[in-house]
Amino acid sequence: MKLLPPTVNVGHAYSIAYTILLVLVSATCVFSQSQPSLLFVETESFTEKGGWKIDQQSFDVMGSSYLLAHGMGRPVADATTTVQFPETGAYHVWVRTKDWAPFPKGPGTFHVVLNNQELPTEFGASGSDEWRWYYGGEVAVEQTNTQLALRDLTGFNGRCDALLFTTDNSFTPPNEPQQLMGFRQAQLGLTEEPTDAGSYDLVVTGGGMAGTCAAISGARQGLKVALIQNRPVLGGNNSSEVRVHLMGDIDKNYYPKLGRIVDELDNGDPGNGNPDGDQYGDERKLAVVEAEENISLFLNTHVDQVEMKDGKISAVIGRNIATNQEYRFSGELFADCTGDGTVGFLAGADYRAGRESREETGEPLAPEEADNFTLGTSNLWASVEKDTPSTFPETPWAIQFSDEYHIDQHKADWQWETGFGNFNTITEAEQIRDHNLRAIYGNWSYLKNHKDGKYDNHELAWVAYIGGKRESRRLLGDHILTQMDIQDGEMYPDGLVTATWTIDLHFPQPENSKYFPGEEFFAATKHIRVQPYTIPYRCLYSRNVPNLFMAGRDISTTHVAFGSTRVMRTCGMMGEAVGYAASVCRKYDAQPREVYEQHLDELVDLVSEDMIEVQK
Amino acid sequence: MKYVLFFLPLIALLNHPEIPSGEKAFAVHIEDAVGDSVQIDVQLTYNERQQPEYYFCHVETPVCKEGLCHILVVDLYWDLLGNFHKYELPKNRPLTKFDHEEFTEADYEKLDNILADKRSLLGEYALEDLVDESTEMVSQEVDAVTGATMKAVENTVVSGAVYSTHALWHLVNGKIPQRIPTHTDSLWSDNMLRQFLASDHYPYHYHALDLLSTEKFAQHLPAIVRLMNESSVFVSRYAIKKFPEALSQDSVGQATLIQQFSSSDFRTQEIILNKLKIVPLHKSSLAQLMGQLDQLSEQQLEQVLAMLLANSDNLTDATLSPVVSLLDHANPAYAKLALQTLQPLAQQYQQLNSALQNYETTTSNR
Repeated sequence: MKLLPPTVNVGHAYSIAYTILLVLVSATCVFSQSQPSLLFVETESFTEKGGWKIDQQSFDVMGSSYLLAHGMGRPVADATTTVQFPETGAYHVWVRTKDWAPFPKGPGTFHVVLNNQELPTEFGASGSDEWRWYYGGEVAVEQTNTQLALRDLTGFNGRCDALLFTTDNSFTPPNEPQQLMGFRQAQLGLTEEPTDAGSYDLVVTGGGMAGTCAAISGARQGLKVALIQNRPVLGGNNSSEVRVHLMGDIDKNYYPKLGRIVDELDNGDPGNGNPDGDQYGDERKLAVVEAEENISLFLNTHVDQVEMKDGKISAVIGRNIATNQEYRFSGELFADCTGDGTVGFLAGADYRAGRESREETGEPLAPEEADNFTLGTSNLWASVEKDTPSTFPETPWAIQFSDEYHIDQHKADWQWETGFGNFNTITEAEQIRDHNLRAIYGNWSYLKNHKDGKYDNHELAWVAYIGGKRESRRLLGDHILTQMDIQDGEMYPDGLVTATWTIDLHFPQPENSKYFPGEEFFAATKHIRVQPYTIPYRCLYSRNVPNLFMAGRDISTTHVAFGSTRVMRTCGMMGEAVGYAASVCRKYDAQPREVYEQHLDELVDLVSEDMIEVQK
Repeated sequence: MKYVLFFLPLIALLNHPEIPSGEKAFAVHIEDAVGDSVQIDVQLTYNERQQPEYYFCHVETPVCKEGLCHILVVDLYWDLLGNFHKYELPKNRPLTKFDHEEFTEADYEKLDNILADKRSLLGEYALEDLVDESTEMVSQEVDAVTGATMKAVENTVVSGAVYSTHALWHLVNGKIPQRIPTHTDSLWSDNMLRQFLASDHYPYHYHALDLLSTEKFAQHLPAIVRLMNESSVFVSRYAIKKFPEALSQDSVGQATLIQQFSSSDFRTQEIILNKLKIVPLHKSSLAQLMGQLDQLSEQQLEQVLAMLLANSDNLTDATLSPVVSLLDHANPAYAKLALQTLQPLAQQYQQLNSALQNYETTTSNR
């Protein structure tokens, strides 16, 4: 595996304080004696994050990552960085933040600190849940080399996107999304050419189970592969950041060769939301990828643009979620393993979201009317029992519980889920996560303070701040898998990936709906059992973007069929199949569809061949 | 059947728990495990103040597996709305599993939870389905493929006591609780209304609130306010939802709602604001509300300022002053909302003009 700087700096301090200095020349600046100075700082670029976390989950909405003080109710250590002011003097301070829980005032308060001096304004409890610039007063900057810090006050998920210092007292930074995007791009120099990150046979975007398996599979077939992941770890929903266990079987396969890479990555089954994150095997996954000479791994890189040529994708552009450095990844073939179908969406691929109507698909399990209902997102959590008691504060800003209704559990499982059409899983990902946090903290506060000591010695050990998303876009291929395909066990000539999971379509638990109508956070399901069936290869490539594969939850299925294909061992095997198919594409200089039309036998032969048993 | 007949004479010799006194409320007929129709008499018990307290019945019914039966003897109790309360077993007659092993404490605890779950899968499944792994609709509670059926059954029954669990659940959640609310309603009186409102049992609160007319609501307002303050947050919200419009037009009604506002959680506050925004507000109500502006979320502030404009003929300096103060608020959205509210009022309330001019001067200088 090749690692290209600076994306290899996973978990280490970033060597560059990425602060952009821009001197604005303003003819209308009537109160300034000279040209005003401006310093713009993205918080995710702070050299030391302290206890703050980089959150990129709303990148597609905000155009940026931000820092999050995720301390589970205990203030986290300061995030710090050193910046260079253009000159000493009096600066107006602006802070871009929000109140994430304005019910009516949230808990996510923090201070901005300059050279160990706290600015008086407390941010994060404004009562407004929109990201905005807040004025922080005027500050005297006495030396150009200044240390900045964000000081969390509560550990309850305060957040800060950027800081701005200006000597211009008439300047107000823009809040309107388009203007802000332009302003941010200008500050960060993003209009300039992205750094060339290389040219590849296969560019895989998304480092969950599907993408990781696709990259390994392709690399082992001799392809030069880029694997781009927007988090510091691989594994996606199976990583230590989300902690969902792998489901779906790999021992009932029509083509047993598929599933072996999944098995290599599989670190055992710690269940959902295990308090010990190591059990999910981040290191194992990284080690397997690192062993592949043909893979260039780009962690912490979020793809937000594509470049098209002659109707095909010619490159994807990704931005480092900490440094904001942009990279261009050129390639012949692309695999969308983002879950959200981001690459396909940006490239204009046909897609669906929500539920189709019964009339449209003919599926007995489809609703009468099409709608925007999707399965939800889980933020799992776990407590552990300690020798001594601990306290947890009352949380008036969270969802409220009583002895009439609360969830008497010491840890979460899959049922802790928000979405269900109440929120859009892409554009409102932040709100979904925050709703989950309000449910978790509100319930935990109830258990700690009102259960007659039952939870006195229990302490929150872990709460996911990265949401485990189940459903978003489904990119459409030459075949759209349906409930009938699954239940009839239809074996198409291109049936490759064997799936075994039930049709498992979650819905709000009725009791949860009764108490929280429209704000449900707890799910139920009905499992519709299926016999093992195969997913056709035609579900794994786009029907209108010729060089785009997909693997994972965004493949070509109906909502109902997705209820079965979505589990991660199955998604991993889709990735493996894509890697094999990509190698056939390269051999014949063919597009994914042509493999189906002209080289299907060869692809089937490839997944049928015997393979040396992989050592676990 | 022979097995049952052999054991029936022995039942009279068993020690029963003390049976509470009461009057017969109604009878139901159920089909037992050997196919016989059995009448069960349901009693209504009273407390020392002669208020209805519980419904109760004594049951002796065969529980059978492959022709071998034993008699389940149990006393069952429900509240006045048919919610299961408890069961009692005869002394020396504990529940047992198939191998005659006695229930453990954990088994009893699990049974309590199963019986309390009105939505249990046991309601959807026939007895034979519980041991049938081929069923398609497996579970509402598990997220697993392999062995999903078994897991569903494990969660729904006491292990080793599938038949007893099934029989008990259907007694507890079957015909009897369906009949109870009707019988209770047939006895409904002002005394019962008072009893329900004064109880510490949430289902009674909901039921009482459902049956209140506007007149009765006003009459029992102190008891209802007690619910708002002391009952579950969900009951409190329900009581406010049920607050009659006629009452929220009244100054006392408005004072009651506004008094609740500051001590309520956000969702309850939302319900209160929805009640207040559809009625004309008294001067005192407006002044009280405006005194809390700084504590509101942006969304709430927008609603409250809209109320101010809707009642623009009823404003005083005391009402307007907190809004003027918002012009200097650190949150620019609050200042903007204040400005948008005050500008259309400036002609009617000329004392606002200087504040607005001052605001314009300050912002243009920054």
